[in-house]
Amino acid sequence: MKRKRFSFAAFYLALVTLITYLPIAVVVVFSFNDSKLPVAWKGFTWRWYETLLRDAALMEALRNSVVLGLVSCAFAAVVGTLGAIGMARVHYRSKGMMEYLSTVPIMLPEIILGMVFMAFFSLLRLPFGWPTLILAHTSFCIPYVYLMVKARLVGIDKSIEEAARDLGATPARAFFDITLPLILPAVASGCILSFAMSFDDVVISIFVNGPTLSTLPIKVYTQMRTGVTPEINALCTILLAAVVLAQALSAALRRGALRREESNDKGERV
Amino acid sequence: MENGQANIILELRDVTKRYDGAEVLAGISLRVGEGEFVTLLGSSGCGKTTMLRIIAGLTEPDGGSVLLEGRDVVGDPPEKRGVNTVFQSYALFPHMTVFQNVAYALCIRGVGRREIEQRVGEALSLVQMGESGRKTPDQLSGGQRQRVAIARALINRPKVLLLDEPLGALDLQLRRQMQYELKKLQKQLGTTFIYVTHDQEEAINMSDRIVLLHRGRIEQQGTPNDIYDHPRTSYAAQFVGSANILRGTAERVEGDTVILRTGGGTMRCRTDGLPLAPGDALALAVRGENIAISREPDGDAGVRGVVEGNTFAGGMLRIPVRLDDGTEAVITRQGIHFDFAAGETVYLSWQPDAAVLVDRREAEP
Amino acid sequence: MKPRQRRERWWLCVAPLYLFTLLFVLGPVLYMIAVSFAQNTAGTGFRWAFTLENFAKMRDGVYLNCFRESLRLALSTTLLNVLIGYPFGYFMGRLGARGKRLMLFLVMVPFWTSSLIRLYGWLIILQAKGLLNNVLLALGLIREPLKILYTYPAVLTGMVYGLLPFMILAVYTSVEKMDWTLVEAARDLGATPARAFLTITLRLTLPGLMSGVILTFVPSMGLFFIADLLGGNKIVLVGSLIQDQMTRGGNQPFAAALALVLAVMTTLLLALYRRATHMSELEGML
Repeated sequence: MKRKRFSFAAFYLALVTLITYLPIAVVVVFSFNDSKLPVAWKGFTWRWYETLLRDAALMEALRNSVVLGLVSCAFAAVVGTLGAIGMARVHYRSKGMMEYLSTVPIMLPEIILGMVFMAFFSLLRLPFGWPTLILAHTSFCIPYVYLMVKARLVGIDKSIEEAARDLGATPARAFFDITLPLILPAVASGCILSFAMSFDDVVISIFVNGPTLSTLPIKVYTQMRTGVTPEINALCTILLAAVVLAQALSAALRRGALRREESNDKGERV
Repeated sequence: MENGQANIILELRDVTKRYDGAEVLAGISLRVGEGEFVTLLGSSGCGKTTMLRIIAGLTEPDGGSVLLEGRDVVGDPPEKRGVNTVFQSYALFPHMTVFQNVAYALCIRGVGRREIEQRVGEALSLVQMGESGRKTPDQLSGGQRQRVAIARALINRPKVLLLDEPLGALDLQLRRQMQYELKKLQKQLGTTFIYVTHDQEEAINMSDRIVLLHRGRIEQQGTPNDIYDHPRTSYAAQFVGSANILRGTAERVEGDTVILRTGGGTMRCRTDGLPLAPGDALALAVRGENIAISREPDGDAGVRGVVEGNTFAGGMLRIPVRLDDGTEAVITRQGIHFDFAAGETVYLSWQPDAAVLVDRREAEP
Repeated sequence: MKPRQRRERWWLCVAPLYLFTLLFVLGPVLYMIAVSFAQNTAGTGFRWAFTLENFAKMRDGVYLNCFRESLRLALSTTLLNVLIGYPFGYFMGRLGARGKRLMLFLVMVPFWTSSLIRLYGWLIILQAKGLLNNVLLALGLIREPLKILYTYPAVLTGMVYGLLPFMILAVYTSVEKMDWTLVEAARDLGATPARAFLTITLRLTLPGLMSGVILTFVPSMGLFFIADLLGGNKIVLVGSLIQDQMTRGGNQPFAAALALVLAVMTTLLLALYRRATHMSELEGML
């Protein structure tokens, strides 16, 4: 009886996972298809990868997306981390409200955020392009970092920092020696998450990107409306490979860290 | 023993269980009489919790049968067994109040609102938690949770109540008080209790019968006095009452007493009528409090050793003595006064009646 | 003496967050609210004159229908996500440590890949001469290629597919935290497996399910591009309407009013959710 139930679970998990991967597999397969149209298999080719490298506009969009993601995520890391640390210690009356407001960008449907930014930035007469894109992306990256760090801080024993102070460390010293290393993993995962969100965003970007600047998702979106070239498939395949590699790497690193921790524990017990 | 009598409520016949190829239960047979308080005693990994789960229906045995009131219940889901469990972690439902927790079983059975209120009220006052019905489990202390878990398990008036180390998480003082209360409750209700613990003190204080488990087998069973005074194996002697196990060779038998020779001298031990021959390799168990210690040998009886020091623990002075044959014997004394210094050579002796032969498997009745 | 000194320092820490939030979150939101009450003028501009006409305009059948469609799509997306995602997260949470790691990896990879790309994959599969039609034809289930792309089911597929990982992860997180002895205790007290699941497991994983609902419902109200790409221009959602009014239509006040209504709807829902559970579920999820 038990075994039967288990195999249904396994079957279900496998089926849904398979369906999840189907569209991705299709994209990958057609990146090697020797035809401009993704309807029938016409033979294997590398040529889309070659034209991709020569496609200046697409490569620029890719570069823009990477730069945008990195810059917004860096800003968000500083503002979000400092904010989370500070918020854990201050007791202003405005704190609850501010905490709520600062997470609004991920609580509202993206379309509203995009629309609101577009209206507001034109009010401020900001030049549409890099400044507006970075501001908009930073705004929805901050909550990810903030929430991650906040969750981590809750788990840290406050007396650790006090112990450092007790041993003679200045507050700044105690922060850099004790608290920062402990929250660093949370900052990192917040950064990775916000980079991914920024790199994937099309709705907000489309409102604030301005006439000349294009990000990769915007490029893909416009192509999908007019006609996709298999170069996009090729680019996606490369990005997918990068994601899988990064995931596998981080999983391996985490397992390594876990094992180190375990052996440390054992060492202490001996 | 009394389990030979009528009114057997629970019987295990040759129950076996393996996990990942490791044998957890190696053919357990056990009969439990109605209203009996039986303790499954053993160290961790001896299979006692697995046994309990098999009775509850939470784990299926690989072989053998479990009879509840004469009916084989192997294969029956836990909800059909008429047996209830007090879990080690209490397993109180965090999203329900104390009242709802206790009422859960009645709600499942569709008992009427008024009867639920009455019976839950009774059950809660039985465990002195009558005032706390509206609290949630996270508002209770460990001892209170314990009481609620007991009330919840008793509400169905189970034929058998299973308790899985229920006092393990409590501090010493509370544990002693709960031992007393649990025993009282069991007497009052007349419900059969099967109680799992690794704590010999709990087992001795509460049980009608102790079933000592070791490596998936029943090492010995009997009343607390029986096991304490007549341990059959060295494991039983050490686990219940922490006896010293000393080894020697039978030299001669004098009436009820056998004289053993060992590296450091001679030892005396009662024979319990066992057939012995000179030259037999024997092991005897003797408790630390029954061992006399002196600077000179007492006639021909006495084993030589060296005092290794002493520690005070649990209201007792423990004095380890290294015997000439390398074994360590631990002598215990009330109070904190002790006249012998570490490193001093001493002689240990005891009354023949205080020592019992163990590990004589062929001699078992 | 020391606490005061400390407090002064922490002020510096929260300052950037305060400043940024006031300037680029509260500012724009207040501005949007203000604009939603302003009067549209010809061209792209508007006049600061208090009016309710932007809201009154929404009572028009076209726009009401648009809200209805968006709500219908969002609700069906969420419902399907619950039906597919809950069992998935539940089974996943009951796997062994290695199984969990593998499944987590498999769920996370699509999560990190571009949603547009995955959408494009569906486009390829669903199109008239696409994979699905070819398979169905080959199996002899249909004679003519079906028109799947640019229909409601296609949009729904895209939406469910895009948001499923959120639901799975939210459910998985709470199932993973489950104390399974509670289920054993319920069984022990006489509950059948189904009853134990309903009264214990489901109840205790409800917060996770609820965060999954929020995480799918909120975005689905605004993901206009999925409807746009898989639904052609047949299905106009509030999202597309806002975008249209903002850019081509040039009616900022109306766009702002639409956005405000949408925002109030989702905020109310979130508030309801906050009362039922805590943010920690959302935070612990990732």
